[in-house]
Amino acid sequence: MAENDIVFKPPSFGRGLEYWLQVAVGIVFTVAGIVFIIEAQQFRPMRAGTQIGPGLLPTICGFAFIVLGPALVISTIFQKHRIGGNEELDLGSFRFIASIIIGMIGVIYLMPYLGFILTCALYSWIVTWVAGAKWWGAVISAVLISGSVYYLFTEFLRVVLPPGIIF
Amino acid sequence: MEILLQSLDLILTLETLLAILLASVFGLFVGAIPGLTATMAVALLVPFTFYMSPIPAIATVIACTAMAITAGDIPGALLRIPGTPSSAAYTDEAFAMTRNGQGSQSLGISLLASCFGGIFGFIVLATAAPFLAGFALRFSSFEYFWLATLGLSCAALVSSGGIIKGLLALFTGLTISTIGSDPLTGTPRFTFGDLNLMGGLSFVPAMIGLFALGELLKYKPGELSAVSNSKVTNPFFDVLPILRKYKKNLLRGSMFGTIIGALPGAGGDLGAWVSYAMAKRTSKTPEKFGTGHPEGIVEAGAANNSALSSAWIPATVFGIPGDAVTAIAVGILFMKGLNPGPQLLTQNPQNFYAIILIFLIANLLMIPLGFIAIRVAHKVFTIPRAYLNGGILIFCIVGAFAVNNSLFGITVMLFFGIMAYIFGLIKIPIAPIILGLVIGPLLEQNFLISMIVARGDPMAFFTRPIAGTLGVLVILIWSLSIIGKVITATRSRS
Repeated sequence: MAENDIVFKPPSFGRGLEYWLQVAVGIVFTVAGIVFIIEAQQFRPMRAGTQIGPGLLPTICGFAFIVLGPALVISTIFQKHRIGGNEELDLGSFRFIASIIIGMIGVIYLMPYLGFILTCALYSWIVTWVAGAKWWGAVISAVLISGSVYYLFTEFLRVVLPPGIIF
Repeated sequence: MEILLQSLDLILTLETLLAILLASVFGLFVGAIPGLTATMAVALLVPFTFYMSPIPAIATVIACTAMAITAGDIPGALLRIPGTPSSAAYTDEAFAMTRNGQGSQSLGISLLASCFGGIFGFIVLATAAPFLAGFALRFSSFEYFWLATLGLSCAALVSSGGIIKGLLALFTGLTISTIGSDPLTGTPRFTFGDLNLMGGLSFVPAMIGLFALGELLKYKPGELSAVSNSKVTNPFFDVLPILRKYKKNLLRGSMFGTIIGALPGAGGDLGAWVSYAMAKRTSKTPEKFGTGHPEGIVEAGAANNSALSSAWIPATVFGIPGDAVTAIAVGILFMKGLNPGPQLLTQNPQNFYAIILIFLIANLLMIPLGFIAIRVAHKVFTIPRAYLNGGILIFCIVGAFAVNNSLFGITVMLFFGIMAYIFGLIKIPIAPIILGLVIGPLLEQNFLISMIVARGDPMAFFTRPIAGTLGVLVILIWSLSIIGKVITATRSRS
């Protein structure tokens, strides 16, 4: 990990982060299950008086989440001695993850204006630099890769990539 | 004979041969880099397949996977970091050989064993698939429903992380597959009025997010700087006598790999682990295992590549993929109009035989290309991951965008990438999600058709002999797994 990287250690409240994450995911699945079942009831069945129709699979999945979500929570609680603390959960690098996610959101919003080459070169430069490369090396590789990919896809594969409105 | 000539006609084109060669080089490169998996390599290549004819598109997937899995042995032997999960079973053994000054030999053994296993799997695929296709022609929606359920059940039960997490992953995939228009009535489901969601979520951005972006998010800057100092000479020197000595292991590994690979959800990783354990258990010198003994490498090396070929049996014959790579391949087959299933073998046998002949070509190409890869491996290891990450991300973006020429694909990829990262933290397996996503529409369509035919009577699912057998098999698998879990839990508590 880079020397000046932020160590990602959320509060663990006496238990491992994996424990809380599993509990949270279990709850999210349970809530999602309830939502799916409610939503699925709104689809008209193919046969009146039965569940056969577009709502059947979502209903089955919803029920599965309602059973499996709490099962995950319960199994986490009962297996808590097996789930370690923060040091055992490999979260990766916070800066690197943030650069990828925030950068990609930026790509989605900026690409129509800046075009494929400039947006991807900027994004690739940031991510490569954050990953520990020298800034000038990151600039060269970002420009080269973005340009080559653009050329390859537009010229050889006939894909229309956004040219942007600035250039 | 005429069909075989037609198949060769399809393969021996500049486009196909070039696709095989380039995909092989790409697969070797990605497989040799620790942390980048064979599935990731395939996911990154999918956007290129959009613009290819059907056979070169499938050739790309086959050649890339075979090479990536073989190349995964290189960092395993030289750095003690398996390039792909399939190499993990014998990484310690191969590295111990390297420490003993036999690094080249260890790589030569795994390369030739992989080639043998791959060709063995090809022979089984070529002989078993037509027989199974004739059988599958008698299948109705009832049989297909049970077959899809069997595939999904095995994927959830065999996957790492346990039954609950496997099932959660599976149902996540199935739920996502319901987004978009219903396959029978066309009713929009979970689209929230968004036109992008009307046609359902494209599986390509989802797959790139799950396997490429999700993997990338786990990367830690500065983590990998280990470069092996061991000298790699001719990898084939003195290897043949070793393979002759352990010919039983070679054959048994290939057989086990083929059987395990054909099971849905199992794949080459499991085949390699089981084969390595089997080699140790039956060895005359089990005490030598772990100290740089080639016996386990021979057996497990053959197993992981033979599993690769046999995983295509359920995918091509029934259209039911067994692992993530074949799920991607099934998606490509549908995209290219070569709908997998018994009709692929009966109506267009030349396409099927072309596909399986590509396995043979890829496995034969493995020897010269693998040789070169082993010799230049040191140079590949010195490429900083930071630069590769930037390149991979651009490929992810262009791949997700090119599916529908829409930025929505990038949004989908990002969503699935974050999901894969979170699921990875709590060890929820990823492969069942993509299987659920691909098999979901098939399962739902066949289930609804069966229910309509049976007028809502669930017992009709057991009245046809094959459907009944498959149904009982599914119930048996579930019962045994649950009983096994309960017994283990009771024992561990007492």
